[in-house]
Amino acid sequence: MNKFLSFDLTTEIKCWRKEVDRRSTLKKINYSDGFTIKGSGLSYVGSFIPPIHKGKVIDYSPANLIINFDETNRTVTVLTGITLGDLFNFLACKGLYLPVQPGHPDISIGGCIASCVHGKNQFKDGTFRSYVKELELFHPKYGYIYCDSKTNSDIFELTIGGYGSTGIITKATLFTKLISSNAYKTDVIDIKTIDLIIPTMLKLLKKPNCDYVYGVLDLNRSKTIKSFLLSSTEEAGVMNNFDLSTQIIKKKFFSRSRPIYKCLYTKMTSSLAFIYLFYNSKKTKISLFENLFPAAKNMTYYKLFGSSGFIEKQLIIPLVKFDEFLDCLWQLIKLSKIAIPLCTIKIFKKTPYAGLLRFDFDGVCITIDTEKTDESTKFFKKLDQMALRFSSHTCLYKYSLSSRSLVNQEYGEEFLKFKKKLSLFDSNNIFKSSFTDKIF
Amino acid sequence: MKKNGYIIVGATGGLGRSIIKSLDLSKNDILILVASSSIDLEDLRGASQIVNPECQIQIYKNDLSFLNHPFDNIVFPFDYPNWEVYLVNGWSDAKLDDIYASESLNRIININYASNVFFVMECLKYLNSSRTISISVIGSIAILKSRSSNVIYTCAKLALKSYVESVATSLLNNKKFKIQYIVMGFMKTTLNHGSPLFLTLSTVTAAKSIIKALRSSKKVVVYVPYYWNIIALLLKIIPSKLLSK
Repeated sequence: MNKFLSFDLTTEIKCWRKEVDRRSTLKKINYSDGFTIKGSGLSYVGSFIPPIHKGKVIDYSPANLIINFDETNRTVTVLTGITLGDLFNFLACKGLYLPVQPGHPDISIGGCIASCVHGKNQFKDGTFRSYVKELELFHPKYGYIYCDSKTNSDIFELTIGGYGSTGIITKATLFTKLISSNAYKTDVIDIKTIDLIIPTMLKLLKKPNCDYVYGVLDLNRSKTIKSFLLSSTEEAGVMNNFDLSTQIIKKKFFSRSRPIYKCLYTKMTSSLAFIYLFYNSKKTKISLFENLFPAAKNMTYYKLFGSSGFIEKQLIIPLVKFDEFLDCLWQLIKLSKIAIPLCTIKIFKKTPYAGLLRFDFDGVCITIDTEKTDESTKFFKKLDQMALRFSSHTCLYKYSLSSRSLVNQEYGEEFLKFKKKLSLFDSNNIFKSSFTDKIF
Repeated sequence: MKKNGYIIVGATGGLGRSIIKSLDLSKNDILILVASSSIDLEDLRGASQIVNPECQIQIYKNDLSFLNHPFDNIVFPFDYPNWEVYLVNGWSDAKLDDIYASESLNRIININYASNVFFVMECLKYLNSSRTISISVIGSIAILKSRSSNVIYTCAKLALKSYVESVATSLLNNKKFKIQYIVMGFMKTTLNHGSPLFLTLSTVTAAKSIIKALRSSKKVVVYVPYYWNIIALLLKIIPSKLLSK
């Protein structure tokens, strides 16, 4: 029996785990009781945690081989247990990288596909779907299924962003991009009034050497919202002093366990953290690795939430409604008296692959973190209702308070389409997790 | 440049994969991988080829559960003078293996004992004055003390040890041949995941020790890690009654 804990510490369960390090083993397992699939086990909401106590988990993280590399087409084929960090190490030596990466190098490729994750610059790079060429899925009813945008395209689209409900993503071929620079410069731009933040971000994103821009907001003050922009731009040429080999990951960064201390974030310390981030990020030169995986160096931020864990809600609000939404959000925070240690905004652009349950819309993506308490749970419930008025869409794989009714209201027809397609593919619903059980 | 040939039977398992990683392959070498699943072999060939693009890699799908000349399909390339063979294949099923019944008796014996004997015999056919063959046969610490579970598995591994010692004795004066039995301690593999084992070794560390032993140790029976040597002595002294408690 293993104890599994979600990254945000909100879900915890004891379960039975079967480690799988090769594809053929999957055929030998008895799937009659249902299974949950686990990659690195770093999902915020615990997509790898079974819906029932003593449930069964297939841990596919040991299946981590790079099995093909096509230099001409710049594609790489991997067993999906491989982590982003290990793949980065391999690709960087070839002068390539995956542009869409969530912030932590220990996240598995299977997890990235199952959640159709986005990186720091969705506006420029799209979502992970844009970089999946083909994949292989294992389902006990069908065996190994090859799928891409032409062959078994329905299953392909259902699987990318399907939260592991279609089966085990065993193998994937990914598109990669050439590294144009291995050194980046981060800049801090002070925003005098909050209404200037979106126009400034849009202006910066149009610059060709801009890698990403996001805004950091301090919503803890009662008189005004303080904000600044954090932008990363490519340094011209390849910097010799930023040799790629120095970026190779030396060790696994982090194992999740519940701390014994309480949350250290209050309104005051959160505001201080905002000021610290403002002064600490000014004109810093960083490597490609640090640029892609900022969370690797900042795990303390998450640990400071203490034993109760945290709740993160990320949602997209249409651009035209953002100013009004932000004002309502600020009022709501003031009323609920909770501390917001981090609130960031990014600009999102809908890709041609948008649809189903993918977090892929036009608008401003706002991320709000708080400690998990009764007060903050009430706050988020109110925020859910309020955001609906602004045609919001929540990022499901980050928000532990997601519910079936919320997904239904936000994703509407696409949600119904997803459910219908899924039940046609697997009426027995063999692969489920505590997360999918809650929202499907 | 010196040409080396490497054969790994049971290559797709954790230890087999780690041995491949730990071999310092050069561009003239040949790597022959044998396992029961063709898809896993294809994956492993791909992964090994990426790391060693100029090395020749051949794969053979052989199900060692059946003893119908399991290695007939493998042909040793004659122009390779030095061969290192790692017999990593093994299988057990504790639930079906006790003193009363072993539903998987044939399978356990074939995979853990008979297939290895067949393979060593196959290697001996190719032994001549211009070719060196070194064989590492991976055994288990299960042989150190009789237990109530894994009965047939233990018998098979013990018989294998006896066979290896016999071959080594018979060919003692042949400088072109070497065979070694590894008494393998607990390893962290997907098979024993979750089992309450102590002093476990990573497959990478074990692989390095196995390769080092085959290349430099003159002993026929080698304990990996070395401290199992001492534990083996202690186990011999401690009465079985105490251990069964």
